[in-house]
Amino acid sequence: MTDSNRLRHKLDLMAVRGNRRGAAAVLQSAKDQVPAARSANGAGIMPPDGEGDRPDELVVEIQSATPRRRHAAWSILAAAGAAALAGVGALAITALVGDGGASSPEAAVQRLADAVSAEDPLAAAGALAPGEVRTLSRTLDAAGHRAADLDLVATAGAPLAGVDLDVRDLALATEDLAPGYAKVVVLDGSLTAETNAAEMSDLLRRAGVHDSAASVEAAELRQRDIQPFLMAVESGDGWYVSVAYTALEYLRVLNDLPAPDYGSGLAALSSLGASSPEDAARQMVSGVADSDWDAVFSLIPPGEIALYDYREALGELLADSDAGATVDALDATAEIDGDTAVVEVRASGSFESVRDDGYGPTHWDLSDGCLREYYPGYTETGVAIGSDSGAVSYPTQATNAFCISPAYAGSPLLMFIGGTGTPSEDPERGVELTAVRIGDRWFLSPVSMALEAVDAWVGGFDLRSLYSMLGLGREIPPETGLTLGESYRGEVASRWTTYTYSFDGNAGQEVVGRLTELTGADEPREGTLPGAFTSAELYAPDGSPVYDSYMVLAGSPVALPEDGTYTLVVNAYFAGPYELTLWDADEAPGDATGGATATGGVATSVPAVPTTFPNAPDG
Amino acid sequence: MDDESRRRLLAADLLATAGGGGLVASAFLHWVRSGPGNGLRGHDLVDTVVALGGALPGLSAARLTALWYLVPALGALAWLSVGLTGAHSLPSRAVAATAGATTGFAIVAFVQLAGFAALGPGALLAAAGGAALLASAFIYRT
Repeated sequence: MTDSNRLRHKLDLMAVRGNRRGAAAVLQSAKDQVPAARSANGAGIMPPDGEGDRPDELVVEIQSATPRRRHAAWSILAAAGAAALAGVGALAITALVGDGGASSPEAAVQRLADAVSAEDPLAAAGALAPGEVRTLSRTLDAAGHRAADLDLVATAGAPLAGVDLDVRDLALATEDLAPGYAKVVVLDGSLTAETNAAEMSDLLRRAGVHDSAASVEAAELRQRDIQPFLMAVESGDGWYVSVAYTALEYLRVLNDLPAPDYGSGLAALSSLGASSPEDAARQMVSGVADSDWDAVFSLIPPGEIALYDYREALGELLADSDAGATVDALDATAEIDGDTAVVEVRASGSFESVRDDGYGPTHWDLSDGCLREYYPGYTETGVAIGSDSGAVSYPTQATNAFCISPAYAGSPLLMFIGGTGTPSEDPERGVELTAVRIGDRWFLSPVSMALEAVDAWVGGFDLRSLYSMLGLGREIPPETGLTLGESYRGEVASRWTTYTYSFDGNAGQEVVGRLTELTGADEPREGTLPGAFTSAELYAPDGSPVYDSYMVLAGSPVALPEDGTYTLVVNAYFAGPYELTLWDADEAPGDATGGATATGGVATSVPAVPTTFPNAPDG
Repeated sequence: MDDESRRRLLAADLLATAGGGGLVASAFLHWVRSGPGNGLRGHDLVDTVVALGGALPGLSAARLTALWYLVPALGALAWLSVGLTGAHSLPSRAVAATAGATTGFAIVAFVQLAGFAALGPGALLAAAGGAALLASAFIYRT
């Protein structure tokens, strides 16, 4: 009989013995009935069976159900728990109060390398100097979500799915340059990149992304005996990798320029910048026009791009760069919101220099988000871009423009450079600059402006833009079906937009077309050439491109290879109303097939990324 | 005490010890396996996953951060309690229940924000630790 069964038996006997009583009474009675006789050691003894007055008396042994405490190991566990609790608390406090940087310059570079190896853009942004990246994390997050919305990636949480980056065997050495500034030299290591198309989105696979691999060793990055390096800065809460200092230091060492004055910008912060955002903008325009680079550098936040620290080196580099511009009109108005402001600047002037071909001076203005240079009355003969030969004349006012503008959302480039005849759509609108207040001084923030432009570009990016960028323009649903010989009028929503049209054709048939920009009154826009700001491609019914069809809207008939429905893909670099007509070449008007236009020029198509002046020596 | 009871008692203590250790260790491992945040811990990790996954109703980034740090803290508390009073005691069972619930909430939050497939070894170890602690609370009955 086990102990538990024995006990139960005793309790059963007790339960049926005598009168019903409570447990306490039973136990007390049992104690009272224990014989008075004791052993020599004073312990209570049970009367032997058969002896004593009450042979059936029982004493219930009461034991604690729980054993007493325990081996010393449990005390050690308790101590470890207390220590771990204190450690977790310290970790939490430290992390929340903020020790965002790395413990050393090398650790900062390693942290960046780890983020690259993990394909973690947000962790990489966290390894960079906060003042230089500002809201980059938010921009990356928005870009990831947008990419997921457009099925460019499967999930926003894995924007680099299918891309495997690996930084290996890094060997680093630190060179302290000044308190809080260090150069981390990459003595050894490698970066490998592999793409696995199977892990990418279907869209990217249709665009032709395939498996590939590449690697680069640190030794291959040496230039002129200069070991690759990254610059690290200490920001009070740890070390970060500085993109700005890295770029500026590379510029300096490759051009044998004087050493920078590290930290001088931050030290002189209270005397740099301007007293108001409007003043900052005015001083910037005037400084650039006068080539007063020290004044220009002093208007950029030192903690953002350390141009001020490198002023001596940059000044020497730019010594021969004289903008030679005059400022004839300058106006700036600001909307201030806390420590940031948006400054709209309108300005105009002229460039005093005369080109080698004798043409000049030219005029410039800041309008509609761009710096534009004008060539009033510019006409010259020469070889037109995109044509084999012939005399050409150009609009009376050609324009070159440099823009960073959300107006180019969807364009392959965020900015538009160069081009002929890119008039401002809104001449009254100026250029918007972002200003930030540090202390009581105002600075212009190029990083903020760039990130805002990127945010707007990402936000405006749609499937049409994406398909165009990936070369999948033919998959964009057609705007309309065209009938040969009948004009279609439509409107381009924004520049650098791709549209498609379908039409039926027969094998051997030749087609040619014309696309004309219109004004609001449905008249051809003066000063522009038909098809001048478009590029076109034809796709056969089977989806294959039709050879040499890019001039189909520029007067060159294209022979169709088969019967069926064709797709015409048009990339429009203008915005606004237009008229598009396709003809059978045998029925096309004379000026639609390689003849002279009414202005005496040859209709040409501008290359996808126009970058040169017309009739420039290399154009 | 019979042998079975002793075995259950020992098992409870060992499960609680292992469970607490798992929760503490989870703080040093990555909770997100791949994609953004997989190289981060603590509030950086939470900030990242919240930024990507949006907000959960009633659970801000700050609250999720506190929840994340509670997981290893409760694991350490479990050690302390087991060491002093044993896994079978009322305080230890209370800690085990709290740790299990807290870990569960944290993991559910991360699944919602980052996706189940993205859970890393830290989250999985925390889940195992929480389960072990909960088991330790029930395996021995007085």
